[in-house]
Amino acid sequence: MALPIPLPAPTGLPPERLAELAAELRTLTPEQVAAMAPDQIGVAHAIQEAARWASQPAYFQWVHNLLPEPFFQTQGFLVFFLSVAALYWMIPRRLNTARVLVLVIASFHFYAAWNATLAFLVTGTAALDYLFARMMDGTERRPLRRLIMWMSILMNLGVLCYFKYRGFFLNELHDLLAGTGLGGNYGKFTPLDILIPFGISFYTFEAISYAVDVFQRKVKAERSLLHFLLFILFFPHLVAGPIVRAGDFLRQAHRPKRWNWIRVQIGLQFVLLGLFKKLAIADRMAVFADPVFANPENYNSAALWLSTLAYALRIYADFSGYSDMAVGTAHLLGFKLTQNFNMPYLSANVQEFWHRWHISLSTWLRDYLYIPLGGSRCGPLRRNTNLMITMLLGGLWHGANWSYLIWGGLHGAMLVIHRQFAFWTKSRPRLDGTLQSPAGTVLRVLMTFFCVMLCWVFFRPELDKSWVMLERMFWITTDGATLPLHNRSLWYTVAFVLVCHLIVAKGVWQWLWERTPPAMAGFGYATCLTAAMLLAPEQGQSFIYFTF
Amino acid sequence: MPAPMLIRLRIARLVHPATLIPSRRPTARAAVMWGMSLFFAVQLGVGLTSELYPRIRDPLYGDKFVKLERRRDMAGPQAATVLMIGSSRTGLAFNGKRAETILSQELQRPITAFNFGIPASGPVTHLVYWNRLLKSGVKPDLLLLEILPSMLADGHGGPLERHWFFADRVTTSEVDTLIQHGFDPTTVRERHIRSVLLPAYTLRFQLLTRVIPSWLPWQVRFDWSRGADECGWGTTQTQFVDPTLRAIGTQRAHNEYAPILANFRPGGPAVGALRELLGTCREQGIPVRLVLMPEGTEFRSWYPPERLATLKTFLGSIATEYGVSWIDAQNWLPDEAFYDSHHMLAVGADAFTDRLIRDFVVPLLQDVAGYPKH
Repeated sequence: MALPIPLPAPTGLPPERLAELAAELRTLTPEQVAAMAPDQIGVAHAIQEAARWASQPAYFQWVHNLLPEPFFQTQGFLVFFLSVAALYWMIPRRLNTARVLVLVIASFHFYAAWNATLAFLVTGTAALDYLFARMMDGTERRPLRRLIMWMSILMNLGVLCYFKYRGFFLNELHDLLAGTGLGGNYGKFTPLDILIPFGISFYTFEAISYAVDVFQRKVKAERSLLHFLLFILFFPHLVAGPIVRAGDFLRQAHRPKRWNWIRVQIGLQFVLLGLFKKLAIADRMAVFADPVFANPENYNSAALWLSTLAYALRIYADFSGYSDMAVGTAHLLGFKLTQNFNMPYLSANVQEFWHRWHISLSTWLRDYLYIPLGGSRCGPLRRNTNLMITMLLGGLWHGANWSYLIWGGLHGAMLVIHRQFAFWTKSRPRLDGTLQSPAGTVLRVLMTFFCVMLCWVFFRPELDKSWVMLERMFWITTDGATLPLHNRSLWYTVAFVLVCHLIVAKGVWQWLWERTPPAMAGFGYATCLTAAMLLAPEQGQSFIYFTF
Repeated sequence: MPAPMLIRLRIARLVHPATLIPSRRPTARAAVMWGMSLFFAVQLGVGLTSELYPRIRDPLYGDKFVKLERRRDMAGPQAATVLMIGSSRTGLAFNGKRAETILSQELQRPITAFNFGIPASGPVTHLVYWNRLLKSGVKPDLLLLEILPSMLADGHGGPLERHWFFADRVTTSEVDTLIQHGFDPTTVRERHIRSVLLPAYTLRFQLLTRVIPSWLPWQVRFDWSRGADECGWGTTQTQFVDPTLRAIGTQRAHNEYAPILANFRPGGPAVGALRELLGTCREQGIPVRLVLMPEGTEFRSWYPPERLATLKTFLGSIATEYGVSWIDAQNWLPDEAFYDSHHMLAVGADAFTDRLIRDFVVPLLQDVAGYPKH
């Protein structure tokens, strides 16, 4: 049977046909897959997924139909969350373990609605992490404790590498062997062969930090498996963070919670803020950025610069919006998660940027990679090498791809340059004074934003497209199409985000908020939600960080 | 509270709204309640308003209807009305102002000639719109009804126009019309209920098109009718079409229509809707002419001869059944008159309107209304 091109959408296809198509797709060679259009690869993935679901147990199919996408902004999630929250709060406070059980079951189903098999895998590895930690706690012999810690770390890294990095490294090895004439005696992986479990990078890091913390006796090994499973599986942070630490979370999990309107208000505020960022900013900016990044060779330089700006805004609003919603939903269940973003585009240098961007990851990398490597307590060369290693691995954490590695490397290089420059300006008070002045600070903020924005060009899996983008951005050309949509809404959105940042940074927001009567605050919430809905584009986009 | 902690809290509050801690619990509850009440009140308000004023739900209809009413008011109560309902083909083809000029000269009395062409519409859309027009008191002296063959095809899953005519464009009383004519009941009801309960989301493109159309990609905008002239006619921005552009447009049309026309067979719910519309006209005593619109050579070549014969036989029989006649305009225009072998350029619209009015409408109105013959 020949594979029909274009591939049919899987919706409505009978299971036998889906199975046939999925079988055909498995026989495609890497060259055939490489020749497919990106949208066709998306359809092929959808066919594979639909075929897989058709063979799953009926119960999980039912769960999948109830919650087809694990995204916070969907109707399915709203129903799921309201049901879980209602059940959770109905259980008396003294039965905290029962409440935890409800959350663990809900979290398992949240993941199983996306992939039941992988939900069992995540739960299984989490249970093993629990056992390793208990074993570590059960002995005083440091070498044995260290061995157990490494077993736990290697197990988690093994799973991560198998799913996320196997394809990349084996394909690179294949090319290397082929290039040297030795020949790779195995077939290359195609995008259709690789299924990366949602959020694998996030919960792997949580599990690793737990093992290290138990080894270093920063936290005690959790005695309750249920509570530990909640630490790893808790659905608000399961698929895209923030990366939580066991010490913070487990303490909260054990504390019985009381219904609290203040907490509800804070939670709703976060959810609304996140929803607005996601629907009204991130998805809207995707309308500008995605078509241009997909085919940069078709657009002129102005369109490429503007789409890069839109992409910078999109990534920020997408991920910080998701984090806000995660923090908000956790608040509504009585949990407080780590703050993940702090207006990073107002940073005056790249070091400050990393203190404000994806804070839970940057602090994790600092605590569990940079400092163990020696951190700043060594000579400049070693220190800068540590920084580069940390940032390169941070880049690789985002995706098994050369482009993410380059992105991490560029940030590492910028951090090194900034550190050396800061050291150099210390001995030049006049220059330092000028840079610290209001005008100098504005200039530094703009400069930092510009550098960060340019680095985002590499924050996509297609490296060849990134080079084309950069080439056409700097070798100014008027040949090619303009932006797919009038750029007025882009500029208004940029101005809106900037004004909001300044209002918050200057404390105006706080001043206003403290004096706002409840009716006015309620009006603000209703307006925010209505505006988010109104400005949502036609096709909702998935969260960028779900793929990491 | 110790001073350093105060400072830290102050800094934290400055940098992120996350740390905005409400001062009192009753205030928090009141704010949440106010927020929810206001949100639902807004949704309810917009939902009810859109139910009462279809112009909000369906600007494609509403904007043309307002123009039609304005035109009829200007022409006065004595003026006859010629209305052409159809798809985007009609929208770009029937030049109402030009038709009015010819008709007033020929008939020596004021005439309103209006183009009610709506993109991606077929018999079910036309039926819904026709019922709305009748309900609003619009009873034309002649109805020209475009026949778009692909929309009459008897396909699986209901009429083809279900892909574009969504239930959020109809009022509650019109939902049944869609279901009766082959639209999937679950999809229609679900989408309509969502548009009533959450209009800020479901009707967002309709609402935004009114306020900030430039924020929307053209595919989701509802300003087709707003951009039309006072007689409902609009034309493409590009009037000079080079061969490359025409080839691209024609290829797109081929992808869209050729597979349907290759197996074309009129029937199913779409034909049912056409029959119902014609039946209503017969009851109301409104003369109707069915118009098979002009097409370019290439477009015509996509009909297998036997399928084209089936179409023409069908049109002949349905015209006889309802006491109307049909106009075969398929070969009227040269290829240069089209943008993409079926959507007309202004030059094509002028030629089409002239011929349609002079050869068919004037004689008919003279016969029907007893207007003087020149």
